[in-house]
Amino acid sequence: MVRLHISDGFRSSMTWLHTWAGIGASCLLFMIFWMGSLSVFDSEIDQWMKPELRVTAPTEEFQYGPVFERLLEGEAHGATRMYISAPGKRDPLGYFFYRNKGGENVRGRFDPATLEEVEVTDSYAGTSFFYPFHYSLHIPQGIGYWVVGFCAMAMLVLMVSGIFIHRKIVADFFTFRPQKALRRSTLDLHNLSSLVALPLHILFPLTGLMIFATIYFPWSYNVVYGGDDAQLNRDAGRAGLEASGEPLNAKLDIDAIVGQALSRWQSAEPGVEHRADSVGLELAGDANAYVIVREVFPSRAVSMSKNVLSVSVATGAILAESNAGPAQSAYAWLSGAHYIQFDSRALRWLYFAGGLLGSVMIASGLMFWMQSRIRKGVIDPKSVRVVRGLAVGSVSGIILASGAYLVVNRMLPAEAAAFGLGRAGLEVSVFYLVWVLTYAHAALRGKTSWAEQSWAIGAVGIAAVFLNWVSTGDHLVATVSDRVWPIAGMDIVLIAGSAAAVWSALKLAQRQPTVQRPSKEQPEAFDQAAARAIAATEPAE
Amino acid sequence: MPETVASIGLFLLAGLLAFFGASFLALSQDRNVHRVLGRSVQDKRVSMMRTTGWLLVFVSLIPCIARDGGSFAALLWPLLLAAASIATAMLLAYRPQWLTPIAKVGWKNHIGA
Amino acid sequence: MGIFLKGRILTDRLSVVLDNRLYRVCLGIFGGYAFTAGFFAFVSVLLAQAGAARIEAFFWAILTSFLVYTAVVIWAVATAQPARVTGVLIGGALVMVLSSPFLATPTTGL
Repeated sequence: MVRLHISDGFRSSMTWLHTWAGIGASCLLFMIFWMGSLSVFDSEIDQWMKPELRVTAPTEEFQYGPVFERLLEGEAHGATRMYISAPGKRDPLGYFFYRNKGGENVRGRFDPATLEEVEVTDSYAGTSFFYPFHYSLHIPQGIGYWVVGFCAMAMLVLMVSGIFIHRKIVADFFTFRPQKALRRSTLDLHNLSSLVALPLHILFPLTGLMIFATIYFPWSYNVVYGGDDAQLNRDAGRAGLEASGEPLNAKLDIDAIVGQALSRWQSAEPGVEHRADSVGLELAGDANAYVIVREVFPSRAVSMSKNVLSVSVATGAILAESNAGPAQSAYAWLSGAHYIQFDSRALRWLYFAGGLLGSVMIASGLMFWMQSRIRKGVIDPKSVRVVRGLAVGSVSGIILASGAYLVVNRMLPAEAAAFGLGRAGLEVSVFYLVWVLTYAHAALRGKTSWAEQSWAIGAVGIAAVFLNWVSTGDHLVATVSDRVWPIAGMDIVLIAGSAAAVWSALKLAQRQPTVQRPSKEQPEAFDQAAARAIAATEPAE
Repeated sequence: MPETVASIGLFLLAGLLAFFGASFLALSQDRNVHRVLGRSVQDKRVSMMRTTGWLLVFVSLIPCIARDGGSFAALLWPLLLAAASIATAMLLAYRPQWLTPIAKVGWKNHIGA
Repeated sequence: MGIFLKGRILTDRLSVVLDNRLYRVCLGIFGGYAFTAGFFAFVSVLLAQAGAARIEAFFWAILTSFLVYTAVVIWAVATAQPARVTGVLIGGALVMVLSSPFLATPTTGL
């Protein structure tokens, strides 16, 4: 019914574009999607990996004033800037940051009930390892953002070219034939996973690029301001003042300023409940000191908040306020949809599943290409080993490494240190070590490495659940009955993931065709049987 | 939304409507009917199955909006439809017989002997 | 006659380069980037000139630029006239990049 009337020349150019963009970007895209899927639950992963965070979220309204007071009168006396982030539902300890008199940056977590600093397990966990991996691949010097951005553009090009290549989008929409030859069912799975969530597969790379737009077009972005950075800051709600050098002559009343911000936001937008997510004090002790109040991620809206207010401490005057028009509001919705910090359990699980579906799309596309090339004999056997090694390591390898990361986290003691690395560094080293080994394993073992790594993933998942029980006492029965959902959810996903990995390993073992050795008496019969087998694997197009 | 009975109920309602919408749409295609019932349909017109399927798909938007508002529904609805489509495709692939009741209901009076 | 032949040989050689897939991909990636960077600056400046608040113009540019980049890459790969696309992308990029700073409204203390 719906047939795109495009010329063969166009379709063939789209085909090679899709193929080459896939060859170039699919391994990296799988890593980005896998880490992105994990990042949906990054706070929960934090709680699993850093058991000090397994406290119930505070129920009372959080007051910023006491935290600022305590720090400024205590260890942060003389600090020039200080930022406090409120605890949240998924992240029950608050964050503090200040730059002290010596110019050093100090940061940590605090318990909102006692206002005491909490020593948390030294681990990068989800928010500081998996999440940055997603948007930068941990490639330093800002190069990582460009690599990920290139992959995101490749993905957009892949999606558009894929639509043009696919001939029978409607007729084949629900088609998945696992009983057929591997290449056919792989292609079916690739098409299915791409089509059912097509708008979303386009939305995420697009919004990711938008979020980093000022990195990708650094000189273009403030051309419209004619280089007037101060005005750009003010339009964004940041006062951006310089120190005057004179001392502050007024009392700092953080809570009054926060209250002022909240009442302004509430009257501007009465339908939504507003909350100050972070409060910053700049130029502390100076006459020009000001407070920035930000609402970043409202819990009951998709849009990230555009609410930023800068208030002078000395005069109480509003120095800068953000005023979002339609374009900024659209951007806020789109970036909020990507960041997924809003409070919706249903969407969070669906996002996780969607991310995994995208990962399946990428992996199945890569597999299909690999199988086609190997079948056609276009790649020589040595290169097949390399290509397969890269594919296996990038797909099952990174999954296995992620599981190993969780396992080692539950095994290392709090004060672990070795080779000049702290505990957090050791955990990350194990991740990379295991990951590199999976590439080597895949190159050495060839086709069987898929199943073998799947078995390993199954084992590692169960080991992680077991070690969580042994090291923290929070086993699944207890966490479910006590409704500690972040930990229960993690254990359940680990168990389900292990089950899926074991099922895959069994299926992969089934697929190994039993090769009949050609007997000397019947060489022709073998040739005929081989010819039939090859004919059976042709896709029915 | 705080997990009230209403929010869970609306989610399930949206999910079920999306699933039936997807399976009706799938079963409005001859090859899928063949897979489930083992025989083709005789009536080749754009069927009630397809119209009903689209209707169910769009109606599933309503509980999404009722649950969380339009802003969230813009994300929840496509995700639910994706899940429903995957579920339908997996049933067609692995357990086509489970879709027999839907096929029979939708195609009664039109199935060849 | 000799000059005419030389011209033909040059354009033939050029079209071999231009028809090349690698060339098209590079055109799409780098030419597209230059064009999009120019577009970003140019469209934000244009909208500000047309009366939009500058921060709004800035966000319109963010919202549209990556769609433009994607379309340009597809165009560069699919076109039957790579020379024309080269001209549009490089020329357009130059025009937009060079003119934008001059079209930006001076700071009015808005």
